[in-house]
Amino acid sequence: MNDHKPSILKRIRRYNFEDGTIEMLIGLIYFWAGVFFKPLPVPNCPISISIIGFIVTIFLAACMRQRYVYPRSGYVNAVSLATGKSVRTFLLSVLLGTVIAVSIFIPFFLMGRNGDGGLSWLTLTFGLVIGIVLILQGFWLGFPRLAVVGLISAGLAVLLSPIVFAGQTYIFSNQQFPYWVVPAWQIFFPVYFLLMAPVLLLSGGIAFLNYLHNNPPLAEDPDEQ
Amino acid sequence: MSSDLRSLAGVDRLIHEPSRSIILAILAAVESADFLYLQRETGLTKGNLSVHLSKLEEAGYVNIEKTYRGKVPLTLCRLTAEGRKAFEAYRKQLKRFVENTPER
Repeated sequence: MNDHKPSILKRIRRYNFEDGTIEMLIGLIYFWAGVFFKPLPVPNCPISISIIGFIVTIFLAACMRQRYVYPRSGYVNAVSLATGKSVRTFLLSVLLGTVIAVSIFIPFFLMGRNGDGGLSWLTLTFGLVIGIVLILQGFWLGFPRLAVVGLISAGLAVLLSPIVFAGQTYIFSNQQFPYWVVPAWQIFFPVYFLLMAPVLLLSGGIAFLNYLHNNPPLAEDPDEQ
Repeated sequence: MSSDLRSLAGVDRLIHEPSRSIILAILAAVESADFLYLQRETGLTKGNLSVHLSKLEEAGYVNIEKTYRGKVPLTLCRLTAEGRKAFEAYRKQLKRFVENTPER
């Protein structure tokens, strides 16, 4: 029984990532984030489009899980806050996560170049943090595809980082569009989102199709029909 | 025979049934789970699972709530405090027994 419990816990933790809908949801959120931060100033693209898209995406993901996932895998609420120990563990995790996130981001924001407040570090840090989280989750839960997506995120973060490749922080300023003075991070950050979105959608989509193929809805018992 | 080995004779017979101990092991690890999830994880048929859950509910170990998720009916099962205590005691008894059993 002692050996059985960890495997039960692992299966419960895998439950949310098994069907790929979470990745597809994150992929679409990334897409709308990319539209929100838009890499180029597109005049006819109001912010409300991405906000509406974001809300519709969450609604669609919930419907998709309701329609395809729950009839196959059932429903489990893994968060157990019934005991004092669980509450303490949860609060400690939140506190520790906040401390780590703040200690990673604050030094970077203080090291700004050319007066843009350190935001040129944003693409690199965000992409690397997300990449590391995905790689760790992939190994921890036994989903190699998450580790691959994490590696792509980290790779894109390095490739697109204005710190690594842009000598000048401000670009896209010319005579034709004199008001297009855009900091480099404002170009590369949305580009990171827009490139990661199809990667997440593809990975989640393949996982979802595999899930549907491997988990047909349970048939009625012969003695109960 | 030592008292540790004899302790197996005193285990809760209601829990000491493979299907029911699997059900309780799953429910002990989560806040709640629905009928379908338990069916998937245990590999039991609907009828068998239903019978085992009824027995556990009668004993006061499991709480069964019939609700809806959207328009879909949902049979939500969760361990009661008594059930959690009983399962923990069972787990300790079994562990003590296994630890005192020599390996060949």
